[in-house]
Amino acid sequence: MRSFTFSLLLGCLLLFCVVPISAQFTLGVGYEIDGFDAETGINNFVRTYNGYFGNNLDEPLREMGRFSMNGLFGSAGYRMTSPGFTLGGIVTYGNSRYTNTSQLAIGLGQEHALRFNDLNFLFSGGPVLGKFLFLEGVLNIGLRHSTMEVATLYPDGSRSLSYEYDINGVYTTFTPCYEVGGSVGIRLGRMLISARVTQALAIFDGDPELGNGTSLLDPDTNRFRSDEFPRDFGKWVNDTSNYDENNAVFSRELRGTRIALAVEFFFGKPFKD
Amino acid sequence: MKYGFLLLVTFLVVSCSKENQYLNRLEGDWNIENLVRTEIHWDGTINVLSDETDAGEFSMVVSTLGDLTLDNLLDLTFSSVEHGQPFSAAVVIKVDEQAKRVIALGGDCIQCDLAYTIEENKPNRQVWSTFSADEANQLTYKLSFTLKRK
Repeated sequence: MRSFTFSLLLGCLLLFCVVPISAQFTLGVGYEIDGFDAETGINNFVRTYNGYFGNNLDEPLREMGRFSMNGLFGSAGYRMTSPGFTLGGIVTYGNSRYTNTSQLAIGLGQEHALRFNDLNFLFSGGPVLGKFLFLEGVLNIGLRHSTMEVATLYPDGSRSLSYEYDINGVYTTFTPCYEVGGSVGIRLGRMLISARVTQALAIFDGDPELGNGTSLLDPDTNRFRSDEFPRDFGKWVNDTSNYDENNAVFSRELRGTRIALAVEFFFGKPFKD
Repeated sequence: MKYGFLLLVTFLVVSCSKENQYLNRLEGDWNIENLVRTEIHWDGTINVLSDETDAGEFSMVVSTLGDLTLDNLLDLTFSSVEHGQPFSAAVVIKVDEQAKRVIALGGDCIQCDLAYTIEENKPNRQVWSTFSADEANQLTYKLSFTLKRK
């Protein structure tokens, strides 16, 4: 998959050296589903959290699906076309979110709000069939800033991020996302409607230092217990002195398959048909 | 190369962070328009312990250490009149990366910081609340400041 995408992009670059091109500025909007590996990290927390409170929970936390995160994005870019081929570079920015709540039998609730802020640099290229059907290979270099906000909810409607419970906090991490994939688009006049699928590559996963990335961390706490968002809630509760440094959700687990539907509008000189 | 890239990203994130914007917003003098102490019983009963208006002032300036300016910290001075006598206290505060909490630092003492949840954030009006749980009595104390810029 990866070599196919690189070959496609390289081929398109070479073709643009020898054939006439036109280039246009584009602006767009889209909807994105940000798949990630919820199972090993976040869902392990959910299962251990629900297990820890057991029958004392009126409403347990829900496990996340692989594609629970979704949201909108905006884009700006530049697209070059020649008869039969296209090459584009666009920047997108958007966010996706998912809010999970639990309710304890004693009356307190907890809110877990996960948010991804994504800045993506997408490079794409491929053939244009019948003057309107765009088939492209896609390479994405994405910067994902993830935030997990954990708040205690009170019966009067108050929402606390304060320190009365150690799990409360604003946990953040940064995930570089190197992705490859493909896109199919249909051009209608000055508009391109496309669907794109990319998959994050596990480039550093074998590296002992960089493999896990960084942990989901609340750096603004001053306490003996770990300030990382735990993978296992029960272990974290009992580990009051932070002996287990690996009981955390890592940035590696917050990337995966990305599916996007986008509309791009072209400005400037129209396509050469 | 990898570290250079991370350094660039860190620089971009820090230079336009919500934390810095919020710290800039806080600088200056604020009236404590309202200071409310509440008992929130977990069964849903709410008991207002006190509700004071014009409860004093907060003055916030960028912290310094000798000739150094500590841009990520503010010196907060609380002043009021209690029992007819002027009273003042000072604390150093910081703001978390996402500007969701104001944190009063407890110095060298571990677990002595106090976090205020930012419930309302407007240029001329702020609402901060902090909570402390009393598990034995199944209730939480809430202390809430409503600030108005002078």
